[in-house]
Amino acid sequence: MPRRSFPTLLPAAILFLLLSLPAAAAEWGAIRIPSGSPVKIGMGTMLTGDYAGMGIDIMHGAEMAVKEKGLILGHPVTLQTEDDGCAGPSSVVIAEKFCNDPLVAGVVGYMCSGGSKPASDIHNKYKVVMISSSSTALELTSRKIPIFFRTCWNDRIQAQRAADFAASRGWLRAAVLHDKSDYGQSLAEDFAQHLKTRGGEVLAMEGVTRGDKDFSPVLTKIKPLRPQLVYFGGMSAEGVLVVRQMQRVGIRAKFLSDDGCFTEKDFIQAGGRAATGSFVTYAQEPDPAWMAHFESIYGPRQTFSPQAYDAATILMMAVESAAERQPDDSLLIDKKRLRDALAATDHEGVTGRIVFDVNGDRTGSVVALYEVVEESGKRFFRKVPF
Amino acid sequence: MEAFFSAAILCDQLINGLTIGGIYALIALGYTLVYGILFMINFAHGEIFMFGSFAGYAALTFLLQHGVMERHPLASILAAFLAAMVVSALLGTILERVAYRPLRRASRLAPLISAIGASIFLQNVMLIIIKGRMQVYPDVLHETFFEIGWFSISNFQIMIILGSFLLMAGLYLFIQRTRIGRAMRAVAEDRSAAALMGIDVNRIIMITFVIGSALAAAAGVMVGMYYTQINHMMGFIPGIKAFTAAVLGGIGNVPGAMLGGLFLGLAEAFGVLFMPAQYKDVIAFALLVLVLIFRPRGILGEVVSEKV
Amino acid sequence: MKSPAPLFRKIPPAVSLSAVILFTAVLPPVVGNYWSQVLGDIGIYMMLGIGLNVVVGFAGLLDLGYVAFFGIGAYGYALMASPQFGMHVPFWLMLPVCVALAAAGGALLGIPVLRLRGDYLAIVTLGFGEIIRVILNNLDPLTNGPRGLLRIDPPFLGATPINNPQRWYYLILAGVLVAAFTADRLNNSRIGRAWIAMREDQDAAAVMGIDILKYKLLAFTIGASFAGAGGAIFAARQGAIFPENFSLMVSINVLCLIIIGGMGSIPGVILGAVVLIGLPEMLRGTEQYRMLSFGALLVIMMIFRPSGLLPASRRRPAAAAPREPE
Repeated sequence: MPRRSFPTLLPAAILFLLLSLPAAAAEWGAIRIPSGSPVKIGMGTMLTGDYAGMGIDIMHGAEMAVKEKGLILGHPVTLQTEDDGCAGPSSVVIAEKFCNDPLVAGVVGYMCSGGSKPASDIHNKYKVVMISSSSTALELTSRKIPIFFRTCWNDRIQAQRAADFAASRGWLRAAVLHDKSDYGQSLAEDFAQHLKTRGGEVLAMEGVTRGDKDFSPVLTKIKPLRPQLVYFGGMSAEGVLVVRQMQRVGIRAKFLSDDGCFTEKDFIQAGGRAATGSFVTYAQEPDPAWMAHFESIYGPRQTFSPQAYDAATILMMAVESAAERQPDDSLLIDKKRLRDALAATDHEGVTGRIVFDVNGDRTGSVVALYEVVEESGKRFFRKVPF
Repeated sequence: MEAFFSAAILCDQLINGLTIGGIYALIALGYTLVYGILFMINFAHGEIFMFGSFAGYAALTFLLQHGVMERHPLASILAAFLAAMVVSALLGTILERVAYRPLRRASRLAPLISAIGASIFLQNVMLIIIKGRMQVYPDVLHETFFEIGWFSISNFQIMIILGSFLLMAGLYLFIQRTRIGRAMRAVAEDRSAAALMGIDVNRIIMITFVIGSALAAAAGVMVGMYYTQINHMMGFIPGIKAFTAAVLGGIGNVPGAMLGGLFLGLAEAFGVLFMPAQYKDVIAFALLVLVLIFRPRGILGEVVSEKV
Repeated sequence: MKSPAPLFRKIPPAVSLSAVILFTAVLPPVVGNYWSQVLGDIGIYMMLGIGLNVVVGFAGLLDLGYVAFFGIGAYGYALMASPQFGMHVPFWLMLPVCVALAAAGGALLGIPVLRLRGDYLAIVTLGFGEIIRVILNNLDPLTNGPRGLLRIDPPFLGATPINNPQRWYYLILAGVLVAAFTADRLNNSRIGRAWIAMREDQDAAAVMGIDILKYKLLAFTIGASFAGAGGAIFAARQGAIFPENFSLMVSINVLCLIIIGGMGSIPGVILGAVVLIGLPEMLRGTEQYRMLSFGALLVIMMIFRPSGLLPASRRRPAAAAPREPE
């Protein structure tokens, strides 16, 4: 190995190459779909892992929309799904993949806020639009990235609604738990803060570890505080254990949680009798006809498939309105026009009317409250008037 | 603040600690037995626990679907335990044969790395089987609570505490009083001498794995019934914690593993009172680091063979 | 023990090396942004692998908490170059600081634990890695907890920021080359020879006057510093880091690629990174089978080819050495 020349030649060569690279494109540009090629909709969601149930459900929602659409201006529409692992590095890699794929017009994704955050920076670099159906973290829209939209709400709205509901029921002494995740902790803290402004008292703020099963110690710890309400920020995997063990430990309080627990299988079924009487926040119940159709194909739905369906639908609608058919039968989609078309969306989706504010958040999306009730042997979520 | 330390809360945490501690102890026994004989950490032991839990789940689901579970709940529970212990024992034997035995003469790192590989492999086998979805144990029994003075304890907790204690006592007697137990101790103390004395060392090693795995499987069924959610990663953290317990008590030392498990469970249950609950796992890791640095022989001292 | 394919013997090393360098240098424009991103990921894992190789392959210490040093490097840079505290220290200034921080971490961890037996050491380091991750996740005022650190500054070369996959590829390539070079020099130095002696027969080495503890500590510290550099690069490139990026899986992945590629051998580590990180990216959609095969491969390699796919040419790496009573 020529050790002498090595150190000097190499850095010089690398520097030369580095500097001669063109600057990263900052203008918008356009997407060209050649004749006969499909228009691709990218889908970033979790396919394997702890929340794969939710992730696959999201994919099904988008898939259904894409299959129903079939064609955009004579070109077939296809959905390309990649596993984003609900985490940063994988989401970033897929973002690069999608943004560099000349046939991808836009992406429905990503599933988790921890992945969407760095991925949105990548999308912003390439100016490829992304619509998330499930990333609810506040920062995604507070940074004013032009290409980010979401058909779900942001967590602050959800937490505040939950706090308003708790206050309206007179549950002012609350113990707050969260799963120490970006999503769960933000919700819990927003809930606590808002409850205080409504005159409530936060007796405890404790975290549990995702993946852990034994919450008896922490529940025993908060039991003597006699909370009227236990608010849990997190996903159903832990939420269902909290609600079960609350009963075991003897905490006689109401349980209120977020959309992470709005799932038939992993909360209601897994929770058994202990889950009855719990409350969760979630979007307006989607169109029942759509639900029946979806469930006939894919089985019981989890949480975000309606939002994913709507996201894919409006994306395709925007592509259709922004695309120009060329003489040679290819499609030219100006990225800025696409973005503006998406921003101007006013569509009646299965989750309600979809309009975006200037940051990409959905306006007027009302968060509703649901209670787990049991009637004639069946347990299900029923909307609570509020 | 004074609410934290009321007698009722302390009693509740005591029960919590003994319950989870009993489970840690059962798993720890498997680690300690294997280490005493082979000087290796069976990194995949947590997965044996996990497979046992799933085997119990499969048995109960089967019985449920055939209407047996409602009519004979206790028998169903026993069947679940049996199924779990058989499956895990089998798995442990295969593991030993395939991943560990060929490496007995190899470097000290090789069996450990092989164990890590086996652990990853088993986790992912289960992941594929259950398609990444967590499973829920059927409700065999209703949980009923008893109030005894300051104590509030449930039938499940009694079952776990008593059950783990009985199993541990049984193991202890087995090792102390039976011929096979004596042979196990002999192999642990000095393998070549034991072989010279006519003991079939391979057979004893296999029996060790069988026993350790069966105990872990029992713990797995208890965890399944008590916490109801099971998934493919459920063995990972408890595995590390159980190993901590084994080291705490003195690796190779059977009463030590029991003591270590209970101690760790109690430390977690009471520790949570003094710190934010999200640090609960750190208690185990910190204990591990501290014990290994300051008292590596553990509370009751190690029982491993003399170095050559 | 087979040495690298005899074909290479016929070509003078300078030529073959230059060819390799030329090939790697022209890759990014050829393969495009997506693959440049993937290659960058591979490159970071290569750096980590080379570093862990110093600890495991050269010195024979099984460190399962290696990700902790990666995290220290990453958070070290991110805290000083993001809106978190409003500090924007240039990357090139922070890089040596992160290396030093990680090295300090390695020394601090090493001092108490290096007396332990091999398998105990493995578990303790695993515990340490997990403790670091939990701390990162819980020290919200400092690290922003699970919400992570966002908008991390990229490095600048003069006025040009390094903020696209292709430019990053070159930076990482330089990093890998520096790391490989350093490791190779170490291997052939007196320190390296002490490590070999220590690995092969600790007692004999001690008798010969080698201060075992000192050399173990050196291995730990030096190995950690590679991870520190890798962490700073990771943070600057990703632009956003979260505690969940520093889980045990990273440590296990790095260990896997060393074992399968070849412990103690730098070409082996490089091959391991390409195979274990690159291939799955090409075979996207088979995630669960990937980890399944990792696990199985570890077992199979240990039994049939403990020295790895591309073994170190001269020395028997730690995993292949026959078991010594401790």
